[in-house]
Amino acid sequence: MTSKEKRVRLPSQKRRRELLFVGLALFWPIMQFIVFWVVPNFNSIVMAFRVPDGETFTIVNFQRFFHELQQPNSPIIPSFWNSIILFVVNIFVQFPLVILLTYVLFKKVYGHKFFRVIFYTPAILGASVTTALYRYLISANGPVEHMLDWMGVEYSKQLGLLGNPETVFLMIVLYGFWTGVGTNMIMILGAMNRVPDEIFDSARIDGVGFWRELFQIILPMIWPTLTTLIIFSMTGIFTNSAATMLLAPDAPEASTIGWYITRFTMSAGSGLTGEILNYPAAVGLIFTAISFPLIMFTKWLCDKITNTVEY
Amino acid sequence: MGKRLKASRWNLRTRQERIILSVIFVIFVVYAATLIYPFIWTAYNSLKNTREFNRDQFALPAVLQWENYEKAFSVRVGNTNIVGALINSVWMTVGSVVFSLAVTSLTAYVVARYKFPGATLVYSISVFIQTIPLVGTMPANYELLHMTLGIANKPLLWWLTWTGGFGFSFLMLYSAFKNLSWNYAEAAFIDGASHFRVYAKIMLPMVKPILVAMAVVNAISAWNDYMTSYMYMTDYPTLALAVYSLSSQASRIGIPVYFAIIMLTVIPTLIVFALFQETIMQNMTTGGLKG
Amino acid sequence: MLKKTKRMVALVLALLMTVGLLAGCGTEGNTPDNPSPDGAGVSKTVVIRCNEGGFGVQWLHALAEAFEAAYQEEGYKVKLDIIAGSQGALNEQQIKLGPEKNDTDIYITGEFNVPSVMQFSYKVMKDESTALLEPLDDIYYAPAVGADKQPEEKTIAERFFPGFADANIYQSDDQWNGKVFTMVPFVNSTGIAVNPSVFERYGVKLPKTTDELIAAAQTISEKGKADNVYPYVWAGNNASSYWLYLWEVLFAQYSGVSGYMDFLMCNPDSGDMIKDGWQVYEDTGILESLKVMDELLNLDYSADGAVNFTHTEAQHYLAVGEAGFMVTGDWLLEEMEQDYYDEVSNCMMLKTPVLSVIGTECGITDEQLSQAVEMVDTGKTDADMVAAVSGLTEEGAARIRAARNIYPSIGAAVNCMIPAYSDAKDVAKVFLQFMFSEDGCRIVREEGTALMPVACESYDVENPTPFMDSVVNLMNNGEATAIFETYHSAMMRTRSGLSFFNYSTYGAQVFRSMFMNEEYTAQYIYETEKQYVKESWANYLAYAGLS
Repeated sequence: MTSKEKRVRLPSQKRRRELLFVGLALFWPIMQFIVFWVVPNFNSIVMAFRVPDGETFTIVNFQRFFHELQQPNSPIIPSFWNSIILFVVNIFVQFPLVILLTYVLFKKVYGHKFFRVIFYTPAILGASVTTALYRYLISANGPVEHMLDWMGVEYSKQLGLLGNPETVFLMIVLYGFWTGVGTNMIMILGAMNRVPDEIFDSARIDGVGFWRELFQIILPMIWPTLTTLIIFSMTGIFTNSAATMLLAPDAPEASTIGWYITRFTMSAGSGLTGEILNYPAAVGLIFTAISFPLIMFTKWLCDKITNTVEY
Repeated sequence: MGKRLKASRWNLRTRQERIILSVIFVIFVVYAATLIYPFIWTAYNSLKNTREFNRDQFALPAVLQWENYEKAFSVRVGNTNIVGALINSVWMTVGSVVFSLAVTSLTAYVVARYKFPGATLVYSISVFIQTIPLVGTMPANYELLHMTLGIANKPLLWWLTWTGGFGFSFLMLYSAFKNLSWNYAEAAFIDGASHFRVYAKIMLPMVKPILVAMAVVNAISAWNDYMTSYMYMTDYPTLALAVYSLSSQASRIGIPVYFAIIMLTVIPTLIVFALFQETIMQNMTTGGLKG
Repeated sequence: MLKKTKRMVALVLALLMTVGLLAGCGTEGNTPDNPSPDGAGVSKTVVIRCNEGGFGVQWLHALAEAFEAAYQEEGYKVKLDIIAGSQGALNEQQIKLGPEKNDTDIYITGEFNVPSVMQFSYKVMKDESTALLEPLDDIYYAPAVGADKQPEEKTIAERFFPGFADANIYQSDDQWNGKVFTMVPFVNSTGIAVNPSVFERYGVKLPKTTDELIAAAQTISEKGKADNVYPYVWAGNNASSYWLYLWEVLFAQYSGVSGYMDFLMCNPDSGDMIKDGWQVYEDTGILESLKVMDELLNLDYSADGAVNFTHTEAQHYLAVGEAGFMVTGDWLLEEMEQDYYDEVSNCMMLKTPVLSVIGTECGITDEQLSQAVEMVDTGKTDADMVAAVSGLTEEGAARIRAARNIYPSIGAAVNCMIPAYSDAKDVAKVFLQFMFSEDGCRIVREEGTALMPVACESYDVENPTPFMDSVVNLMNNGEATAIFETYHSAMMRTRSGLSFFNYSTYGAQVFRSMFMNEEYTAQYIYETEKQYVKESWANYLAYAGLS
């Protein structure tokens, strides 16, 4: 065999070995995915096009959705706006705040290791515990009410903070702030930690101040991470229901699309209310159809920005 | 040594920095207080008896009722008690983390590193599936896991569900692998190493910190997961299921005892997290959604 | 050093997992139990699946013990499969798994939709004529058998409280219509629970009419303000729909139980449900009952923050005497007994006050109505009432009597049933006969805090609490009629999602809205509701697959 022949054969053999490895490695996860995810979930898509008698194909559930949409008292539109508001507040208010706070932690402010653990505790405790604690905090004659009294803020004691239609959604939003720092914080902290030290050293030499360092150096450097976090937040736009479900399940003002859907699903299981699963399945499909293009567009937008930075 | 370091760090800060850091430090203290206070409240209330608790929820307990913890251990959960639930929580958490990371890391490595038809598709789908609100999947899942496959309530088979390759960890590890330098790998290939060897001996150790971080985060999430036990492993209730199912019956077992159970669920995770926090904070990152 | 720790950690993890897995496979999962030596696939061990719900499971353990003791000779055993959390929907899934995968012999479960499960009969049993649930006619229409193994005098069916007996009869448009597949084990009475000490404290008599109820609320509100005691407490966070239990009784009082049932079944006067079903929403009973709710539902009448109490938080107020009454169910004692046994056992379930407008329509004053109600309670006849109350006719007396005897129940929410493929069917049936016998009822009463809906010779137990006495009084007096909102729901409602209140946001949260929103008066709700259902009727038919 001449060396020329060897070189010609090597790429294809190498390639074949490569593809074999890829195939073997991916075989199990893909099979697992098909069996454990696609199969049962495919059924939930099918269900959207059926009624309880089980067999016929129908679009009645979608018609029901549009019919309900037009009712004057329908919870759908308010729920939709609540979902959007939660997302917007999360991205445009909570996010920047967390970035700032994380940056301070990154700067190793006094006690930063302690704070890191404390801020992550809501994620550790889990939603059922944190909502119970939050409810206690804002309960009638609880610590928050005492503080508001001390500050001289007017509010209705009779309704309480969570019971008052005017403030209940605000409490849900604040709950998001109260518990939402931790998970994003550790991701952003990790990203900041990967920024090469040389950059900071040269910034220091150049006399770059706190804000300039944050906006002109850090932000662009961690942008890919931020992108991921934004996308994740978007995926939850119409499935987010935990806060409402655990804090104010019966308050229409606090409802989200995720809760609207979950609510039907829960009462369908009980057989008491006459609810069926087909309707929420259809509603779920509708909102998936809405959110997916939104997510893809956001991803495209973020990638365009990413491409201006490469390190 | 530590003190001197801190003092010197403060000295190195610019005036602007000092002001901003101080202001935000105050915010931190306030925020931390709001997180710690309810936790401490739960802790000391878990040591009261119920009448004392209902009389005054703020006061410290007059006598520390450690027997609440004894009672907590014997609270019935399904076919077993809290001790049994604790054991179930442990092996389910450990099992799910080990299996899932083993499969996910190889999957992420392959999708991130190798060019093959469908690589982009695989990645896009793994993002897409996170967006679908899954409604009414319970009957289908139930049928699949109890009936068609028959693996529900059977630990020796249930691990199959832990071997998924796609999910949040996948996306994290994908980015991690994408960001690695391939120099070592190339060198190993030239030396004749097989693909798997390169993966196992070279690339995987390079993402070890991220693996650790994912392991801890996933462990916390598995520890808090009650749905699995509730639906598919009813013979093996976990602590998380106990917390969830007892919340509406708290007054039946006594609210302080219920708080004791919460403490039992929470303290292990807090300790683990505190121990591993450095690793996690250094290494939780994603490189962005390329591809 | 690091390598050693790594190895240690890996070893420990591996050990933990192995231990866990082994422990897991050590205890039997859901595997068929051992057949008895003589029968092929006939077992003497009954596996009962039940959940730790509001009623606890103490009574079930006691029943199982007593049963095994009585049938020691025959070698019958009971295995209890207790589940954490409510499991109705999961039980529905489990029963469809069939004989290979499911060894449960008896389900004692709530939230179980029998008609929808029966639809899977052919799929599981593979036989056109066999239903998925085992017919219980042979034990239902026979006498129960207690610890002495002797059949009792009356049949179980005869002893069942009226209304509950109906709940046991399967109603559907399939071939098994009219058979018995389920037996209701608990009365689950709901309604107004009072803390009498609060009423005594402010010198208010326990109300017998709705006007008296509203007056009581006003009085306690004024007098109790200084003491932080309120007329009632409610749970706005997750249980405002409990007010339904009051509303539906008042409705049934006005329109009669048959009127109420017509409403449930969407059965209009013309008899043509498809065409006119929506007309049931025009029943004036709906309006009259809403009017009472309108007056009663006032934020001033309950503690600050009640809008966001959970049900368990609310119950605390009642137990310690900071509220006079609340709408709840007879599981109150079981739920609170851990630490509030003394207080709650002195609470009582109140017979629902009679709608005052009935008095007006009978041509008597409210005071007279109260008097007439008292006479019903003390066992006087209609004739006595006519004599004692001037202006009251026989018809009126009968109407008042019927109204007074109605009590609400979610009773058919819990059912006992046997899968048709159970391998211990016969023994399971014997267990049910035992459970519904005098002995069984007594054990349940002693160990649990709920009543079984079968008449018993005596409910004598040691140290009966006032609470349980009131529950017995509510139901075991021979004349009481239960109304339910669940089991009798028409196919129409089951499939289309048509509930009692559809127009307002979230159906049953109408009562929460009445608290919070001035606009939601009785008239408003009644008008908008009837209009809405009329206009949407065609859609509901479509959702139900009926058009």
